[in-house]
Amino acid sequence: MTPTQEAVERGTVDLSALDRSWAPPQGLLGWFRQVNHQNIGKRYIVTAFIFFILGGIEALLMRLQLAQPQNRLLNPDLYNQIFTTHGSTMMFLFAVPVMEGMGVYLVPMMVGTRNVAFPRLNAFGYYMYLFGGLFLYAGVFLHIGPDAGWFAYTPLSGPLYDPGKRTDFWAQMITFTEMSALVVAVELIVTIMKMRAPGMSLNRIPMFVWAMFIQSFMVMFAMPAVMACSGMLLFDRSVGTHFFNPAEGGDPMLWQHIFWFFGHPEVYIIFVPALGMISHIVETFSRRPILGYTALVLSQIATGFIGFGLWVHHMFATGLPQLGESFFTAASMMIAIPTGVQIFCWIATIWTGRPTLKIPLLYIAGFIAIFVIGGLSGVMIASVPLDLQVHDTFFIVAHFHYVLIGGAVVPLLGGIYFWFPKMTGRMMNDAVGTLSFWLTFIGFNITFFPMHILGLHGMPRRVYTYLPQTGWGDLNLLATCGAFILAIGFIVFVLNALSASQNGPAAGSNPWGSSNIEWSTPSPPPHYNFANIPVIRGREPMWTDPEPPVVTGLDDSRREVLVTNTLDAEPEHRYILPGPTIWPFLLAVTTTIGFIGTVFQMWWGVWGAALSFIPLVGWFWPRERPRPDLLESGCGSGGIE
Amino acid sequence: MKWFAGAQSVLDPAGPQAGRIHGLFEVFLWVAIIVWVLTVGAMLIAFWKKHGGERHDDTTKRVVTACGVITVAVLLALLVASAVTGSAFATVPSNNVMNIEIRGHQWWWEVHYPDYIPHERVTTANEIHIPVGRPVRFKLTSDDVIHSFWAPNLSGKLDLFPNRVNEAWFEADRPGMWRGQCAEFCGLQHANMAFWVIAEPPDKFNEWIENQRKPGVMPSTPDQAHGQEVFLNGPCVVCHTIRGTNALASVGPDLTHLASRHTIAAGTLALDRGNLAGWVTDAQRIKPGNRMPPVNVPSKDLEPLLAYLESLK
Amino acid sequence: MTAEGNINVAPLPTIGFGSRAPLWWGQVYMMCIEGTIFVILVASYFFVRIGFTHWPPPSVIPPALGLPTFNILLLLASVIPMYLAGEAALKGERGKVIVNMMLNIVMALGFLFIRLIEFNRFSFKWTTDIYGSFVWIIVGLHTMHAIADTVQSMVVLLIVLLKRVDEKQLLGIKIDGLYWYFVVGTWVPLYLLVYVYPNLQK
Repeated sequence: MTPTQEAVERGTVDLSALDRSWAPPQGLLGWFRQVNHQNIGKRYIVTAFIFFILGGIEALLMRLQLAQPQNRLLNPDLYNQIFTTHGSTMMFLFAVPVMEGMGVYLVPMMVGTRNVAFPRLNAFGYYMYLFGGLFLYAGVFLHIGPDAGWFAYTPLSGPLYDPGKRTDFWAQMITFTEMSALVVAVELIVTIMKMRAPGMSLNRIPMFVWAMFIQSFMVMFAMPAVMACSGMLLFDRSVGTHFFNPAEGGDPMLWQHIFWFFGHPEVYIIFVPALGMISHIVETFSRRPILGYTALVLSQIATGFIGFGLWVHHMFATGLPQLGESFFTAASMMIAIPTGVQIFCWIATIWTGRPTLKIPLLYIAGFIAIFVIGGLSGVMIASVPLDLQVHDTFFIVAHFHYVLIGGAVVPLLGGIYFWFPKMTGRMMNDAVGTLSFWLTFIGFNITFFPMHILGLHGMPRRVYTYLPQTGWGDLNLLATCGAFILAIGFIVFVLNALSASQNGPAAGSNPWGSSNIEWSTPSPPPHYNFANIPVIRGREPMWTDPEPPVVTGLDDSRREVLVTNTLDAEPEHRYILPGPTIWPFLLAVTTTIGFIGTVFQMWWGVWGAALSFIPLVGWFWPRERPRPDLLESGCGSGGIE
Repeated sequence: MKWFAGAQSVLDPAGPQAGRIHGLFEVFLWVAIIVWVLTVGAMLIAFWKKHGGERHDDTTKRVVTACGVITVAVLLALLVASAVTGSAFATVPSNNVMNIEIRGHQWWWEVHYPDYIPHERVTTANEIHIPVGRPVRFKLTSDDVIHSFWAPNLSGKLDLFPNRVNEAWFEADRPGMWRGQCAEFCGLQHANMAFWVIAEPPDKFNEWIENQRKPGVMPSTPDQAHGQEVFLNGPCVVCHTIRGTNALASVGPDLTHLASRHTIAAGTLALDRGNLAGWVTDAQRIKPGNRMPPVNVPSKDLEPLLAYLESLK
Repeated sequence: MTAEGNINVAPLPTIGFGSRAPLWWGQVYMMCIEGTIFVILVASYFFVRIGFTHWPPPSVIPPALGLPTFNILLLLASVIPMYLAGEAALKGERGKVIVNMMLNIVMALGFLFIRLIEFNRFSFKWTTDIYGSFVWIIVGLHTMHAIADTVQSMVVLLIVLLKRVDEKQLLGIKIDGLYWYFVVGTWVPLYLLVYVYPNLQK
């Protein structure tokens, strides 16, 4: 008997009412009015993967260009646009949004509620992300793609050396995507703080939820930095301010400080959610509770804090005072400690468990093998003398692909394989999954391992070509071959997912025998996630408490959820969430008009704001008339506190 | 110009800094290999060992804690090793130092030797001669965007900023030629912004610098004289200097002793007549986007011009 | 029909105030984000300032103190009606809410009008030099926030005038007030930075 049927029999739920109140809006217009977290989360994930494919195509073009010395496939201008777009796409349009998407989809389900705290804001954030990405690619396809690198160092990206609109497109894309990341961060934090199922006290919060909680805080303090500096760059470029103009007292170093104050936490913003996924996969397939829950949580929190103290290690070659550099060396090495502790905990969990090497766990094994290399090369470049040698060489390219693909994308693929049955109700194909894993794993190492050696042999980054006499040709050719194997691996994964979503075998509610409550609801879950909100009485409820008591008394005839307190998740009040609405989409459109207009003429900022007034009023205008039953009970007339 | 494997490599140090960094690298590398083997080995054993029986989580937690403590100890040791290496050459030696000023341009290197009396100050480009065994202090600045000065066989890199001077130093402990390259993305031709460092025994170096101090040689054949005329009456003088003539502009590299260099186009092409002809007539084909415009030299004037340029030893 | 351990939440209210309300937290975190942007701008200001022996650069006359000081007092005073409006809302006193909201909006508009004069009196533009760039962006960004919240207050007032004050609107008034406190609160250090600090340096 499924939990839903059971709940119906226990008479605690009116399924048809729930269905009606949480039904997604229909039709084409309905698509734009959608506010359910499952749909928005899936949109994030799918959109991010489309950008991932675009970024991957750019990577392959670069690898083709570098496959042999003095290749003439791409001219330098095109190459610079492509590597800039590749970096920007992977960081801003793939890695962060896909993690946000996983969070938006999974967090409400994992904490046992029906939607995120601010569903309309959630929808708005998605459209901003989508429009920002489309805006950047409009530039790329019009051959005015950004060409100053994803880090856009001034003065190269400034008005003097980069005339035209290229960098403006890039800088404004930042505003779009960071806005989206910020609203997701806020709504996830509040969802996690205030909407956990009763009994889910802090020490019972699932690891992925912890990870998204920490990641969201990092977003909150890191993303404003990049919004500020990309805004300042826009002003320098369009209205003649001097923030980064050395001739008028501005300072190119200021850009680097602010950018990396964002840029380094950014790496952990991508990496921390992956850490959360890993814990669930390790626990499930080791068939025992995760070892060192507290250590894992504390390690992630430590990572979040230390992540803000490392930015200067991107700037060792700028000639800073030595004392300052030593501090940042120490901090950069210290961040290896929490990461090490987590890896030890996972290995110990597998060691003391009864592991079954299912594909998600295979991805985690791949993660450890790859990521440890990236972590260790990270310790190398934390050292100032070593960094001064390998900084801005292919060694760094190798390092951060080991860290980001190894540390985030590989666990993400494992995580998608793991939660795919929950999202779609169908299983991915294991044979194809094994094939795609090995193609990815082998292709990855063939692509990126040689880059360490290339860097040590003096090959700088961001070069569109090199001379035959350098002797870099063979390893580059090898890396290019590897890149194609890697690409095939990703394609096989995507095809597996596409085909499984249509024809995969039915999954059932808990195909892997996992421990957390998102596996208690049918796959795919109903729009309201749970027929009954469970009461949480342990850290692994599905293992220790398969038939928990439930929450009753929520009004199923409207979108009502339960608000609980932050520490112990004790019920505080009921909370009515808004239903489908067009205003978030319209607000995103008017904001987009303002943002894009601003790139060409600053006054558009004002017109955009004025236009946005209409959807904002629509958004905040109360729709529901006060319900008679509420008035009778005295709730409607104030005096509640 | 002789290329050889390792002419631009961290792994083939030719000076004390690069040597010590290389030593440090080997320490880090061995630590990394050991840690990786242990971690991945533990993981593989965890997968394939016989599972079951009683679980001793407390013991396991103690093992995990011990691993954490070892991690901290190893990192501290590496931190100390790194700091010791770093401070070993943090300060420029004060004795017997030679000064060189380098100015980065999109996309070439302007090199000055300021130690000599002002009017005999030596200016060259993309080729840095240094005496073996003598520390050289570099003053680095940029004319436009940020560049980074890096000759891996000799030392780590340091950035060149507009409106700011950064100081670096290195020393070569044996004669030889090493290549360096801009390491900070600086625009279209970042890939082709290279230079050569040529370390010579002191007497050979002195010979070189004496020659560099002289004005450009006067044409010795009618052909060369015609070439000089073409140069001085053509667009070349808008950007280039040949000391001893009326060409005094400093937008592009100083050509006074062009023919004494091994390469043109910032370490991109060997200096020979064919390359020179290609560069003069259509530099954009070789380095698209660089600042040298195509020069329309009538074919009857090209050979004399090249002859003149090649005479500028 | 209740199983053992089930929790019946029907008796709980459908709204919470203060730190119980998700919306309150959302607003607090939005303020954290905006606050971070201000902190970064201020840090950048001092980062650049280190490079100068004379600040503001000698070519620039720092703005006079009189009008901005009057204006910050006006801004601080505008907190009072905002607070009273919130209190009245909790007690369900619609009339008081409307009067105090109106008062707050009038004061906010007055503040914005004087701000406009302040801008006009600056002896420098954002293009003058780095000092000008920073003053304009800091004051400009703050002005944007003030405008946004004034508009928001107007919308809230409009809703209160046209609709019955029910619990959602109560929360709206409180949240609007919270945001106004933020606008006022951030201006105090920024005022010291923009108007007082350069005059002390002279």
